[in-house]
Amino acid sequence: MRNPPVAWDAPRLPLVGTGGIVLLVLIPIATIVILGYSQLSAVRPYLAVIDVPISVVMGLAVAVAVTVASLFIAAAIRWARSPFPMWAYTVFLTPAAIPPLLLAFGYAGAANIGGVQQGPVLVAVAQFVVFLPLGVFATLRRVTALSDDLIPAAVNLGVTPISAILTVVAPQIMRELVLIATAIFILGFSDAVFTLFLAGPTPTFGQVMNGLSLGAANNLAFAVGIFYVCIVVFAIMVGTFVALLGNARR
Amino acid sequence: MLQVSDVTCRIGNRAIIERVTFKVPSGGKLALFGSSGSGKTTVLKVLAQTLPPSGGTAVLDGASLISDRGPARGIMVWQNHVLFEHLTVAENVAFGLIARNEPEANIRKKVDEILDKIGLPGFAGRKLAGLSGGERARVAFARAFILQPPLLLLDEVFSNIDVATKALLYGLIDEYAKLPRNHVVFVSHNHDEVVALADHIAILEGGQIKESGALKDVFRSPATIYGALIVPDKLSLSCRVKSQADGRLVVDTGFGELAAERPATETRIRDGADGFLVFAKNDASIARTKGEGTIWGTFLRVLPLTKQRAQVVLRVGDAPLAIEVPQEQAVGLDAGGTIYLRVTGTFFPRG
Repeated sequence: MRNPPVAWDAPRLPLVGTGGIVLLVLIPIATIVILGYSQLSAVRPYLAVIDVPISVVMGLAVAVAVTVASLFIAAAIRWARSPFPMWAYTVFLTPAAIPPLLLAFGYAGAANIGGVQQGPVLVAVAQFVVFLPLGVFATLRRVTALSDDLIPAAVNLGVTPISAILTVVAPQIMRELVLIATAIFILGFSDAVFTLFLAGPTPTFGQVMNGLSLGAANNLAFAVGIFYVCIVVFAIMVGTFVALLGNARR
Repeated sequence: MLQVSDVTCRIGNRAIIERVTFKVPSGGKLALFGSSGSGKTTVLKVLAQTLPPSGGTAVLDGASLISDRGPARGIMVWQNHVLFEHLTVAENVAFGLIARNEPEANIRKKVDEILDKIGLPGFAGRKLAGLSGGERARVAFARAFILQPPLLLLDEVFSNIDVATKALLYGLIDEYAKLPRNHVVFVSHNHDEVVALADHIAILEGGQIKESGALKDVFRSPATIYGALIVPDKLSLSCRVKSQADGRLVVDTGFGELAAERPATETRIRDGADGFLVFAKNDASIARTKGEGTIWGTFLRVLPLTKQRAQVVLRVGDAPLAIEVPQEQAVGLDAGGTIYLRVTGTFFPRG
């Protein structure tokens, strides 16, 4: 006698998710480890890409900075006295909607024009801007589930709003904050690691960081930077129009 | 004395509360009574210094609750308690003392004392996750009481609390209010809570105070329909003044005409004025036939209350009414049939 077909139900999802993680994350890592032990000389050039400590320190710094900023921005949005305006969401989302390559050109162009030295600090700033919207929206999703009166209750008992965010809000969403920081660290790190691993063992991450220069492509960088600014302005205009249209229909 | 004068809160052009004015004497317990969305919690938030008003003043024993810096003097127990889930019971209770930089030894002593008093001895190290609704309410009260504030603000804190916990908390609030220079303002839309706890009342509707004063005065001679309906077991019928003579009114309910008293404080009522006839549940009786001074409705059902009394449920127009009558009046009524009522009550103008 045949068993009845098993429905595709929720209890199966964790199993499928775990399988996906094993397939997409753990197997590649295991492959590197196995290759590393069996053919170390072949893998060594790729490991140089990681270029500790600059990339790791920078990745951690960006991850922590984005997470902390996201916590405060999300708390400010969540507990703002008046509804957060739609155009501000649009502004927040703009960097996430711009392809990183375009953004990098924009930054490089702007840096060249402004005489700012290109290097790891500028990369960190760019990564911070790109990942901040992701951090804010991931944090906002969690703080929205907290009580409306959480910060007012803490403030009423005698702490400042900033202290309330750190002592009452942050501990209650600590697990999510750690996840967000980890995700941003991996995302930032993978920006370079994926590209360089897949492109080949040279140049190293450090070489890219320290030698980031467009040389003769200044004019192109300038044009792309202006293009980037135009896109941001356009996004703000569209966002404001949509928000106004929404208000008018309400 | 807590004196709240002309407090207004606006969001954009919309006034959440407007020119709210009331006072609470030292040792007084004022109920802010009103329907959902009437602005009660907003008033408490202003007094708790967590929401700056657009205008007006709130002065507690000579010092402003609005412009003064420093820790809030009005400590609030929030609806749903708003406890800090990552902290233990003791850490929750001690939160305000830690914010005030009290020495640790003092904090420990005070926390133990207040937990004993509130009926939670041995709960200090417990996480909140395992606590019942009543226990969580006690923690919320302990967190406020431990600061010994001159003004205790309670935002619908008694809903979903068991009877024993409610009795304990009523006792503690009474004890707190008896201490010199203490004041209580609590929000409620429950008549029983108001009767059990308040000695003063301010009735808030649409963001405005409709009536306020000592509870016994409002019960004895309400000035508005809002004050009239705060009295337990009162019912109301929409009506219009048809005529008046010798200080008495004749009102038309649309389902018959009735004689009505004037409210004690309302001297000028014009013919044709819209309003409500307010009467006690047991001030209505069933008449067998239509006659002068009766209204008609549709009989729905009868429920026995005691051996002598019964509750008769009927509908007058769209308004459902549940009146209390002697058992013998409730015999032989047909569900869905017409029923005649003789009612004596007081007319209150609308608004």
